[in-house]
Amino acid sequence: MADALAKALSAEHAAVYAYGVIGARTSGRLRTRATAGFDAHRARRDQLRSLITQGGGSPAEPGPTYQLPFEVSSSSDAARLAVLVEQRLTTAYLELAADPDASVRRVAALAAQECATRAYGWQPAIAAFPGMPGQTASPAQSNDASETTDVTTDETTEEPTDETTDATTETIDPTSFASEPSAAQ
Amino acid sequence: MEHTSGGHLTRRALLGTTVSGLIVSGCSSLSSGPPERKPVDPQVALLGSLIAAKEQMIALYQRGTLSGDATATALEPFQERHAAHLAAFRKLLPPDAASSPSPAGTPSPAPTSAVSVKKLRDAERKAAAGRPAQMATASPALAQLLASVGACEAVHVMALGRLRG
Repeated sequence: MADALAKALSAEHAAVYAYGVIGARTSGRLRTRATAGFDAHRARRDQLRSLITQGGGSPAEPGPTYQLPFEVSSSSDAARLAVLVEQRLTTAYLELAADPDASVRRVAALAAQECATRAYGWQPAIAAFPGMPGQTASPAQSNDASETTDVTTDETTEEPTDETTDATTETIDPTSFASEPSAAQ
Repeated sequence: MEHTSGGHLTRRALLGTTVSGLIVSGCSSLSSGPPERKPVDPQVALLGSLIAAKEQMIALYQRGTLSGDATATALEPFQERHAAHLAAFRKLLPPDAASSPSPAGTPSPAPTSAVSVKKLRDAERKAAAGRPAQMATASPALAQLLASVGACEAVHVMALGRLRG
């Protein structure tokens, strides 16, 4: 399961960068949402680093170069990227949920729930099995990402931080978004 | 909404892994258990409790749709997703356990009175919060399924917060 931990960390590295871009392309409430997502993914990234270190491994650093899966030039693009990031991370955490260590499973379960709810916050559509490949999510109320409400109690209302701006200087590894989990052994 | 695609983590693969494990465990129990009473496979017992809880959730939603108004209509997709979860849990049962009476035991009573969206939301929150503990003793494949089901329930909590009722 060390591989699943490494994959999750790789995806979180990419998510931290992606949310930097998302924050740079949004404003107002969406910017606040992006900042909350950035902070949440940074925290999970650090947690995964600790888990890998505790297991005797060496956590990977962010890749030197990344590439976004598509051009992000508007708030709509940013919301679409956020949904993609959260969906891919949910899948990564589902793979980690098969870890033999119950404490790692717990981290994976909670992180998967957080990713799925953040995705819903960006785009209100619901899949019966979030993170499972091939899932069809049905719109709950509206597909307009700008029509977001503040029901995400886990999200903070902080203003965008300098760290968000700093993160935009990194780059995204497309393989992090395209990584495919393997079935439980 | 963007869909995750191309992954190896197919539901079929997950379910297949677990079913195989359950069958092997069941055969082992047959050969080593006392002749008068076959020991209950822990995974089957866990699945039984998961199925029972999911049946209760569906029954709760049936009561939530009794009003017949717009909120009731909005609740139908939620109930359908829970039905999909229930089907996925049942698929993991080995054939002998699936054909015998459900460990859930008590059949759900016919819905009589409506329940509020708030009560449904509380039930969803409780279900999602309980998934990590259930995953601790689950087979790897069942743990993955539970993580996904819990994620859906967590989203339900948010979505129900947008409904009035």
